[in-house]
Amino acid sequence: MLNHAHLWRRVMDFLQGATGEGAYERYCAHLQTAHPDHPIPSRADFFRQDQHERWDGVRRCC
Amino acid sequence: MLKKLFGLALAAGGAIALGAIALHRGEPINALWLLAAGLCIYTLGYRFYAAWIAASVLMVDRTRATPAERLDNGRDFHPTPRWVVFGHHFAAIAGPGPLVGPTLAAQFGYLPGTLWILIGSVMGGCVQDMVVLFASTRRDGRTLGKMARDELGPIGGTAALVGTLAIMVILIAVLSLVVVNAMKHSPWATSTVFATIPIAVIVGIYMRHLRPGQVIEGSLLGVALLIAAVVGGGWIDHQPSLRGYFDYDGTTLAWFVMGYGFIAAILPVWLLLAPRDYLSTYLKLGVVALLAVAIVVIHPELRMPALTRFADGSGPVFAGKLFPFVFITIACGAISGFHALISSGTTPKLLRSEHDIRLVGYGSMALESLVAIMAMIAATLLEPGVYFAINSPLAALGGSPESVVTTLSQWGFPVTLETMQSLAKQVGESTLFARTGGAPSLAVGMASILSSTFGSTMIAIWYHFAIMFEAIFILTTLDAGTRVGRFMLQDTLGHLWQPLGRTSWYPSVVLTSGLIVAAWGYFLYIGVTDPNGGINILWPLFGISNQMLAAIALAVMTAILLKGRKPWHALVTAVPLLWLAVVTSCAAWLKIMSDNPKIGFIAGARDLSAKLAAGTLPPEKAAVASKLIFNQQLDAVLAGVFLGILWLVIVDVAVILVRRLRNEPIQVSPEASYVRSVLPEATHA
Repeated sequence: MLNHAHLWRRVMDFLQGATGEGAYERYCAHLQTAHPDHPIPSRADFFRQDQHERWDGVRRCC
Repeated sequence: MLKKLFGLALAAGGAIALGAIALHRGEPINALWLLAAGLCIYTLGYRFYAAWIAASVLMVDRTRATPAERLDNGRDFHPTPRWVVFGHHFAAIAGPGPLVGPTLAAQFGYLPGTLWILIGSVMGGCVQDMVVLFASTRRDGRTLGKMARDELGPIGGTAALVGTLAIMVILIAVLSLVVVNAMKHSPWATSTVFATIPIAVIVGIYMRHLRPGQVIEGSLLGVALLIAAVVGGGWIDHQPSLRGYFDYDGTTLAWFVMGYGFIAAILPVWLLLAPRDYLSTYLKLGVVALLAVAIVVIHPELRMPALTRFADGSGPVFAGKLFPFVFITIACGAISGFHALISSGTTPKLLRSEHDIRLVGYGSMALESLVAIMAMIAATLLEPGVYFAINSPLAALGGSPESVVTTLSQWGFPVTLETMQSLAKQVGESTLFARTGGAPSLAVGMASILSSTFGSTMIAIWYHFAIMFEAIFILTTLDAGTRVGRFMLQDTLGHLWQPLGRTSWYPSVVLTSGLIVAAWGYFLYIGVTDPNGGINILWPLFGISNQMLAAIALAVMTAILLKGRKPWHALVTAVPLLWLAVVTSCAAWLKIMSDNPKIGFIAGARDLSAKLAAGTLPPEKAAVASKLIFNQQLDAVLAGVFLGILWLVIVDVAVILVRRLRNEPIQVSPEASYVRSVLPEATHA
């Protein structure tokens, strides 16, 4: 039998990954393991910075 | 064993579907055959050709750590699950090109375009995307421009830069023209498209200030508002006091689009560009899925013949023979040079494992190509007379709706004024004649499929939903393209005077954005004023520039493969490169030199000057004639530049080939050195 809760979790994981919604949590986790002395930015600051960098080049095609 | 049986079944299925397409001459064929042929051929290509390229030519190594793993910074470099990378990559490469190209190419019939979409993608486009993705992954996510400089030297590098800037300008001009033609004197379409701007701003503010980073929530809100805007546009269209505010001619709309492009380029990305991009991505995925379901459910018959008489070059949608123009017109649906810019730079920084390169590179392009097949189906299920009446400029068929229906009926594509009138009324437009550019005919096709699957009373809503859907990602391309052009220009001008290179210095931002908008705005303005519709000139020019960029990418990849252990493996990219060189050169040559004034730019300019001098032009044409003459000459120069760049790059590759054959020393390209991956996939393999 198909596990619905499991399937739903995977769909949401995919969506969050694909939309970049989980990006902040991921970055915080990365900072904690790789650079524990580095200050953790606020969620709003992180997305501000992230969006700015994301559009600094060719991102969309014809 | 099971895999082999599956492969055989696929091959048989593909052969039967293609056979059915080829043999059904003279009688209508079901759209499902096209879809089936596509699915079989993409799967075959993926399972066998792409697998062989990955294993033997590229020798992808799942134990090798990718840049995402080695340079992980939690942001742009980060090992990401393969389907998420696939989603990112597909959203980035899928644009309006594969919708417009096949719609225009349908004037030759469904067969030539479909064959090229299938063969071109499996042998060319998918291979290009995959090999570029691999090469960039092995070089820490280096961009195509940098790789071109490394492999081919400064000339190749500059060629890639100039090529990218030129393609951007032409691309934005032609896509804006498509939107303008869809909005011309249509209050419903215009008010809906206008409404997308404040909706994007609302979503932008929501995602930045109200609920920072809640992307899914914000996007769902936006999509709901967009659907409300489509319905609201219909309401406005029925209010005599309101509809006047949204009823404009082409020239006015062109100025609006230019003003919009300029403002969008200097506004911060979070306010307009980023939120609208989320909306367009959701819509894109949703509509593609919806369309696929609808085609399977109603499995319509294609009314367009397999091959029309216009293979001889006399077509009213655009001028030019089947060879080479079907290839130039399809462009993105089979091979798109633009994809090489995404496959290098952005996507390689996300790959968890080299093993995913086949899925992300080859697989995404196969899906994009399937979208092109669906666009072809939507165009060819229309009554051919209706298709031609929508897509032909009035001037190409006598100058009035009456002459259009008479000429088309004489040519064997019967259509009446009443049919066109009632169709226009059904979709909520005043007229559908000469709505060139492909978007409206695609919208009629999509509306007829979707409305018979999901509610037949709503055909007008579906039509305007489809127009909004196309407009929203054309506008995203317009913003993003203007911005990229601005960065490139700032980078170049910064060498002349340093402050101009500062991307956040406002005077420089305004100046360079203005220059880029002026460049595409010029072509858009001429396209709108051209009585022959502008698409006839701009789309082939776009196709040529896009295929030229693909040739540059394939040339760089050929150079890399030639330097490898088995130089003959370079055939994988060299064969599509040669084919593109032949097609693009023939098309560029014809566009410059053909004696036919409808095809050749120089002949067109001469023909117009002669008519102007003799005073035989109608007054409205005479008023713009001198501009059109200058523009045709400029187009001839541009096509010549594209041709020149193409052959410069090919000569560069030929030099490498000769040195390789003579066993002379060649500069080996710098690959990042091997580091063993510690991710679980790599260690368990």
